[in-house]
Amino acid sequence: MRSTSSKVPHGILGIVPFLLAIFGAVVASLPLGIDGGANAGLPLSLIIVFFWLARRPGLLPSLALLFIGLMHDALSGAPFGLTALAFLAVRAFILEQNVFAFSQSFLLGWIGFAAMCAGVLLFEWLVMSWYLGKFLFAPPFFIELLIGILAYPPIAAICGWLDFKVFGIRKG
Amino acid sequence: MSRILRRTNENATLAQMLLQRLDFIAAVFISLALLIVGKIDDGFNQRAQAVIADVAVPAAEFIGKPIVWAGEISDLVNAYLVESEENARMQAENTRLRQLEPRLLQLINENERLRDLLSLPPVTDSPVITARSVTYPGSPFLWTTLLDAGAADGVKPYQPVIDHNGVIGRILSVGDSSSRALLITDLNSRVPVMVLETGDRAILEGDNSRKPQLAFLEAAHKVEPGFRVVTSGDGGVFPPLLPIGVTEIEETGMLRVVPSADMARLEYVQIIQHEEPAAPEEQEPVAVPENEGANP
Repeated sequence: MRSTSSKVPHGILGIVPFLLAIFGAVVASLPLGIDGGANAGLPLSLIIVFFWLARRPGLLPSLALLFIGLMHDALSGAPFGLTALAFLAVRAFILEQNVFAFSQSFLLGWIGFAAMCAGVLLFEWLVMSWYLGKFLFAPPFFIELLIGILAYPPIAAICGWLDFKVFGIRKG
Repeated sequence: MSRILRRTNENATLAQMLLQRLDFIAAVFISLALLIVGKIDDGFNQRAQAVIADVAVPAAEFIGKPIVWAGEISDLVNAYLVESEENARMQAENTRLRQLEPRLLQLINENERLRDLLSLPPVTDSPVITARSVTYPGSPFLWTTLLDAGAADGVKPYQPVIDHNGVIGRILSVGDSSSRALLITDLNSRVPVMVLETGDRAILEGDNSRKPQLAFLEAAHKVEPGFRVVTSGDGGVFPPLLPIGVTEIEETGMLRVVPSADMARLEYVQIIQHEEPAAPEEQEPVAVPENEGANP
């Protein structure tokens, strides 16, 4: 695994991505009414986690991802450890595969997120099907994937703006 | 000197990489362990989630306030825009309800008299706890919602949860100040029900779709679309005759129930403090007088 330390001195502000992801987990659990009752949610914390892992992975260490995932599971009612495992898989994929290209251009980031989101939802569907002992109704997973893909650009734009304001160095 | 510095830097980087790898392995190990323990012992998930939910619910309520306010403003605007139409509708409904009131009182009296004649115990209204649904109930794999009332308010597991339209589910786990309700649409939900028009009994099974299915219905049933489904009271978790929804028949012939409550828009709900009747072996033995039961 390559070194993930950032050259930018972060200090206490380094906690911003972590707090944003926690905020994302809480907001995503609220009744936003964006799925038209289709029983799908907004993968907000996944978008935030993906964005910051692609930009500044040193600010979201594995234990932080574990905590964010557990918080997400406590709010959504999912089995403990499921979301944390998915986030850790995203981290491993981004770092091990050396795919920092996701932070080089918006379009690459968007395509990368779409692929990652599909992978995470497939992983969750498989684990939940094993957990509950039967294959789950799949359409809501596709709707959640669609919501995630559509929601990525505005949320990534806000995160990018925050990145610039807080850390000052524009990347990508 | 520069070689020593370079070597020190290399060692530091190596140590950092090693630490990150250990950090990653530890996090994966903890996640997997939690997942497996949760699979083996379902109560573990519920207990752990209840602890975190106690902290998360106030945060969710605080962050969710703008959404609640936006909803209230939207309701106000809607009420203003359709004020006259809405007023006329409500007045008509009020008149209809007033006309029904004497008939209702008559039926209540008649019901009490008949129960008295049959020596049935009187129907008692269980006390309720009002709570707010804090989180969105749906996710692709679960239908549960967090409520802002917990053990400190008297909430206990298995208590039925209703909203103004009908049954929405039952309490799954309880924290100090929050609880989680399992909705009737969830894959794990099973509710004994009765079709009001025919008296047929069945089990309402959630399958994560918006319309749970009616299972274990007699083969010779006469259920048709639009029939009302209520709780049967079997099993003791739900009191009898709580409204659930109306029947619908799919093209495949499968019977489903359209819940009266809109699960995607839950707001305020009531938790019925319904005490499950004690099992026969737990009941106090009743002392029978010696001469009772003997023929006169």
